[in-house]
Amino acid sequence: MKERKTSLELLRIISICLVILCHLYIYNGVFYQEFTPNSIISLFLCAGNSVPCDYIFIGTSSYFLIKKKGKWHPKRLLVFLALVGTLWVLKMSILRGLFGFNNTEYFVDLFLVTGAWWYALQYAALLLYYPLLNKLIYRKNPTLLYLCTAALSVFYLKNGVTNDMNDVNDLIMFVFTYLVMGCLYVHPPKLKFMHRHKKPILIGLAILCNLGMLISCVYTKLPISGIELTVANDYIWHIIGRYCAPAMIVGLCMFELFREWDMPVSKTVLSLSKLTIYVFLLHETTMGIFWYFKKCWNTLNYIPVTEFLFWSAMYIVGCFAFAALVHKLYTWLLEPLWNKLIGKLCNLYTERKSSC
Amino acid sequence: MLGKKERNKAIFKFMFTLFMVCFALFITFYARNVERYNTTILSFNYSYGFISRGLLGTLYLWLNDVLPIDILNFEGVVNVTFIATTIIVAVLFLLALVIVSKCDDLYLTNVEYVILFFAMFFVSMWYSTRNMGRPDVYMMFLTFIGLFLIIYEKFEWLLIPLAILNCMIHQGYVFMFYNIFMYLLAYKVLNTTGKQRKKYVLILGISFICVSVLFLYFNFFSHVGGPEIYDDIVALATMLGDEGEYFDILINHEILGIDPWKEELPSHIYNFVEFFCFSILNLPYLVLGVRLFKNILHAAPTKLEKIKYALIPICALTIMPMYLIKIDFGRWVFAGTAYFSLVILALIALKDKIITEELHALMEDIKARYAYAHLLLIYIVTMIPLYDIHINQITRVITDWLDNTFFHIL
Repeated sequence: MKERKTSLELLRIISICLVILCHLYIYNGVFYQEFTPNSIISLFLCAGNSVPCDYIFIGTSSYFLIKKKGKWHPKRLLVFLALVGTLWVLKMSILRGLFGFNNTEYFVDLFLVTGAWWYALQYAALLLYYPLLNKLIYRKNPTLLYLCTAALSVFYLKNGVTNDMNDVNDLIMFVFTYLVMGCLYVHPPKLKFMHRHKKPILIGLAILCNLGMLISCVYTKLPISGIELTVANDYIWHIIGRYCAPAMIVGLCMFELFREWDMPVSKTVLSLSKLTIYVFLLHETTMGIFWYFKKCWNTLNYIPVTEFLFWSAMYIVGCFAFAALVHKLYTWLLEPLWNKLIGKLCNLYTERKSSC
Repeated sequence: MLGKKERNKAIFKFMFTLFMVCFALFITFYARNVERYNTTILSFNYSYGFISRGLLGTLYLWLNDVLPIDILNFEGVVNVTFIATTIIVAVLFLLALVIVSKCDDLYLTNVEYVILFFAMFFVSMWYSTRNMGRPDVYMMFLTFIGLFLIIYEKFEWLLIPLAILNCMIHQGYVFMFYNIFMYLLAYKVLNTTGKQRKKYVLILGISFICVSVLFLYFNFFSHVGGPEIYDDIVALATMLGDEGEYFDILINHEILGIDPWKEELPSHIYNFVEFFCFSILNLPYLVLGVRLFKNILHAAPTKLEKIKYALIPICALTIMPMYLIKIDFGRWVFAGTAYFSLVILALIALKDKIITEELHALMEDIKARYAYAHLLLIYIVTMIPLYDIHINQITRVITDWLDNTFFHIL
């Protein structure tokens, strides 16, 4: 049984809630439509918080993968791919069943079909190449690691400016974050001051970056700023884009703070955290179901504030409920079959590895 | 050695897996859409004379006359294309079934991998929005029919009309898919003697002359009456296209004979960079392919046998002109994949000992040497679906990135 740290699991739950909320608001245009109380609430909730959550997930995965010093084994990758493949077929079947095969009216093909699955692709790739990165990280002389991280930071920062989201730039983002985590945890900076005042520094950095993103986003949207809507939207689009450097700082600071927090074990947190991957992979499907019934639809920005908050909460509850149902069905019906197949493949792998 | 029951069970298991994989790909990539370059081609028909790419349009108009419903509209094109593609996929399944049922027990698993490999490319590509309804899929259909004839060694003379029909669907067939018939007929010429050999020489010779003549005619002489029929074709293409849209470049090219080569040049250069990226990403399969042919040539005992197998990569070179003169590298990559997969599978079904044993030995060797060899089947998922001008999404993104950062071609 995998040992889980409750504080990190709690962080994952909070993060997934913010990520799916952010997608709800992006796909319904709440961030980009004209100023309303709802658009400001959504910015408050998400502008400085949601993208850092992406980095919290990458940071968490990186942290545990960096600690894995053993040889590469395909089990983890195969288990992940089996889950992703199954949920993908389920998601596509539901969305196609509800909206048909070529639906542009509801932006289904634009948002819900591809949506946030870039993360799954990049994570699967990371599970393949992380041993190479670990080799680089665990070199006695970290100069090459620093050089690679510095070189990647140039591309990463450039991507933050252009905000051109694609697979190559996602790969750069993943590798860069992984290497940064490697620098921080395997070759930590030897500054006494940093160690002595670690917590206040992390909190300070996180708050500074978070408030910077939040205030600037909200300000550009306020009518008193006098900034044109298109210009404001372009700015917000950069801030809530994947390659935002302050978001990375917030994400990694939050990860470290929660990692150090010795939280008592909570069964509720642990069982909810098991659902996070299902929630992440299926939240667009849940949104599709809401959309089909014309709920949480793109009038979201214009409904009364209480209704807005109610439907946002309902959406989160819906995502978790659907995820719990699918999780139950998957572990009951399909997981044993997949495990059998994966077990066979892994046995083959072990046999062949030992005979090679 | 498997018993009859166990063998049937193994084949059923494979066919079920094939079906499930193809269903998942269909759910993922089918987009209930036919792009305007594929609707426009249906407006070319032989009521305007013997013009290039006119067969599909003629058949479509005939279908419209026969059916009690009007299909001369976009909805009709989408429905008919979907049904036709599904029938062609069903024929692919049948071909897979024939091949595995003709394969010896020992080699079954590795042959199934090759079929899965090809089916994943096939289904994802021809159901996806860019290529739904492309003439290539109909050429593949006739090629499958030809493969049945070759495998069962019956009515092989029908390969001549099949090749002619393919050329009438799209003259590019000569470079893209004719090599499948060409190689298999050449193989039979070298594998037989006496009257049988003469028969195959005749089929090969006649089909080769027919497709060559048709190619030359369609490419250089079929545009003569173009300006007179242009307006009628545009009117029909408007009826068939989504919201009345049609693809003028195709009409200008095929009906008026205006070559878009100059406009396509930047995309063509971009294609070469993309192809380079694709080759690097595909290195595992390329290395396997090269090793396979090296082993096959090594295993061939006589000079004649060596020539027989050396012809496999040589016949693949017919696709080269397409890379050099036309964009749409995604389609050329598919043509190459289809050629090697189908030729190898046909030879296995024909019980060619060297091909079957060498393929099996290579795959067993790879599996024994690299414990993670099975990941090669998962790796294909990143390569599909093949597009048209771009090869696939991954190479497109990488080449876009390279282009924006360094080359600035487009």
